[in-house]
Amino acid sequence: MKNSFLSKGLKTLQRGAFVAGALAAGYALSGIDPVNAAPKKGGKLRIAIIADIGGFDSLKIPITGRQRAFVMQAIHENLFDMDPDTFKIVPRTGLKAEASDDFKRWRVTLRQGVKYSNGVEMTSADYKAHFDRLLNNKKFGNRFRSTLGPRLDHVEAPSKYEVDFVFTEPSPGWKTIMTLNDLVWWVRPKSYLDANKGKKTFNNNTVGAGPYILKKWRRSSSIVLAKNPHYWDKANQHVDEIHLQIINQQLSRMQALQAGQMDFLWLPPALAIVAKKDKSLRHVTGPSFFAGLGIAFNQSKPPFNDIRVRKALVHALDRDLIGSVITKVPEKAPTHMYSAEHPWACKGIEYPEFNLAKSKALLKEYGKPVKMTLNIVALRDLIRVGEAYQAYWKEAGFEVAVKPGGRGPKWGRAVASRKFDFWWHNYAANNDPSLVGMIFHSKSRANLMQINDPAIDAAIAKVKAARGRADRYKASCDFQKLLIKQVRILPWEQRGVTVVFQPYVKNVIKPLSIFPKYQRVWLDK
Amino acid sequence: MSDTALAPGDIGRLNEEKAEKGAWSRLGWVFWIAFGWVFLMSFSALFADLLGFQDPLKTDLRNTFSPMMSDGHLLGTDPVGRDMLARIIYGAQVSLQIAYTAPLISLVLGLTFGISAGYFRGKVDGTIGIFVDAILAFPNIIAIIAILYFLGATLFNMILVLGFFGMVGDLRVARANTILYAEREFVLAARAQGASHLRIMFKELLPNVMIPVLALAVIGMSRVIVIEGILSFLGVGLPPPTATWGKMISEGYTELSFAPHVTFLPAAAMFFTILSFNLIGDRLRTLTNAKTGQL
Repeated sequence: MKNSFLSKGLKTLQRGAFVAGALAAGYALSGIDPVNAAPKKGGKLRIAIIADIGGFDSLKIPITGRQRAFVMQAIHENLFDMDPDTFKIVPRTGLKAEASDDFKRWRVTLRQGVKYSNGVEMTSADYKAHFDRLLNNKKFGNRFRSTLGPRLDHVEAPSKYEVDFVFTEPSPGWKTIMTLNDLVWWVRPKSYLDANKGKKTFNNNTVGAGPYILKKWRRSSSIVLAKNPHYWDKANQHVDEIHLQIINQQLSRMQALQAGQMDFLWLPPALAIVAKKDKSLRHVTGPSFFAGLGIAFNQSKPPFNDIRVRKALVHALDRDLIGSVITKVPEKAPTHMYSAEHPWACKGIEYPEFNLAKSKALLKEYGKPVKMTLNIVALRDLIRVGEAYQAYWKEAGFEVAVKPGGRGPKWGRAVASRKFDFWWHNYAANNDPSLVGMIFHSKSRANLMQINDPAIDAAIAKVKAARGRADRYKASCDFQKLLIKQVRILPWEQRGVTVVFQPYVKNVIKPLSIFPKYQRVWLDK
Repeated sequence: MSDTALAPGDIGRLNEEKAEKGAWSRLGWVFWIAFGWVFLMSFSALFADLLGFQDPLKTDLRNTFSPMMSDGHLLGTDPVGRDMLARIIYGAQVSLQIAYTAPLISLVLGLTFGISAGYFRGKVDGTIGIFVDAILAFPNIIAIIAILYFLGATLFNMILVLGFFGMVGDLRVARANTILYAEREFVLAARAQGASHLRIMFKELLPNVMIPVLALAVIGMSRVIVIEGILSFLGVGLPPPTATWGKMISEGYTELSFAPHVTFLPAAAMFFTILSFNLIGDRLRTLTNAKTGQL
């Protein structure tokens, strides 16, 4: 009896130990910290980025840029943020946002007591001065507006802590758009803008309301960020310094992490697959808030203005298989502008299937030979994908030349100038359906594919007019169905974003975009 | 006197025997192996369409990075499932087209400017000298990349650009040899007979100057293959999906750890071809050199 009692007790203890061990192992492997683990302060976080940022003044560098946004998110802070698990919008330097009945005016109440890194308090005058400077700029004003979805007319400051965003058309998704990591949200104090007006050195430094400030910038080499002594949310400011080392090669970045020379990185899908196999590292994947990569075509002129050609093009492709050219793992190709984990993802949308016979028949029906040049960025993986597309299309009877071109801002400028007819395309941010809509509206400057279809415009108008989550979701999915029915997009990749880090890096938040919030982590060293 | 010692007259007799053996055997077996490799690559490249190689552009995404000796692919497949053997052979078409044509352009330009400089001397020599120094002062590979960027990376443009920048070596050898021959009796005799400058340069000097420059041109072939490889590796070569050795090398280097054949096979083809051209050129230069040819 006694023995039995003891043995039961031992078994219970063993089970408890096993469960505790399993939980500990689970936490260790997932990189998520136990709820009550106290964050540690101090230390140096080492991150490898791919390229330099060009500078801090958005009128000098009018492009958000992946690397630039990655760095700037630690220096600046958005009005609102999005919870990666619930997709709910949470206040940061903005406390609340209320829309007028027609959604043409949004009033944001600022958090009081927020200070920039130079000690100046954040007020609505800063937002007005910042947006006036950007939107009234003759050269880039319209470009900045076009990144915001529905057309923002101007910004007002009705009181010290209230900012009004005034639109010329309804903007129901503005609250979500305010969570974007985009250059329009890198706000600086009015006094700083006034004091530095016209100075040549303005592009070399900045101040922001984010947790870190620029300490040192060695061009093309490294950027060092230090703690902002005036940061308002000190509970979320942990490491003393962040060292961002510029390493151009993706593979070298990953190898630096594996060698212990780096603490934290985000990786492209192919390398993320490799990194996930490394048991000495931890990783977290979140949904992409970018509508994916693919191919865009100028739909204002032949042959892409003919739906038979567009359908023939997509029927000729085994898109699931082509995706594996980069990742080496076959994955389901995207069917519309949102990935499966995205809060706006639609169900039941089928993209035209791989069917060579259908493709050939459509091409025959079109009746004319189709010759085209596919412009792509000269990156090894993209060239491979381009070659794979080319081979499939050749099989169907298309004549396609693949032309690799410059990368970075140069590529962006070439696409924006609309000199391509058929090109590798990043479909841009898809946080909100109103952002997606502007890419396709006939009157939008962001309509690089030059689509001019009343049915599409009407569907976008419905998205804008819809109120409430359910109505907006339905209008958004109807719009997506129409886009796919008319084959207006050809996406090939829409994968989640993976961040990989050392086991001692804690509080890694699931990334919602390609800009994981490294500024919130702490080091358990 | 030992048995092995040569009697007077033996050296002359040996030289006669050597001459009887003929030029073919004097080239040596290394030359013939090198020549055999170049011939094999040239023949395969020239008749690739008739020799039954697979389509070098045909992709098979279910069969990427297949190893050597895999089913249906003797040398495996590349990152998009194309047959490596076919791509190496079709890649040879590009490399050898450039190797056979660009040095020819260099030869023509080098001989023209080199003989002119060496024959006329004075201002002509000085002007051409400055021109050559200017070409040498600027890093050729940068200049070639810049020119191809603006003109477009086509095979024709690449041949022209490589031909132009390759002429410096030919020009210098041509000039030096022209200076050497310009004062010889047969040239002076032609002048005395009232022959025109053009006739002297073309009939008297060119046949003598051309031989050493020709030997240099063979070495130039290997040089342009390397440059084409560098350009393709850097992504400024011919556009996809054209197979070139340089591009094939660059296609596989990120996957070296699990598919080394994708990089090493085209690299080996390039290595053996360059080595062969160098050995052939070196041997020919040795034979055409008046001093070393007798050794």
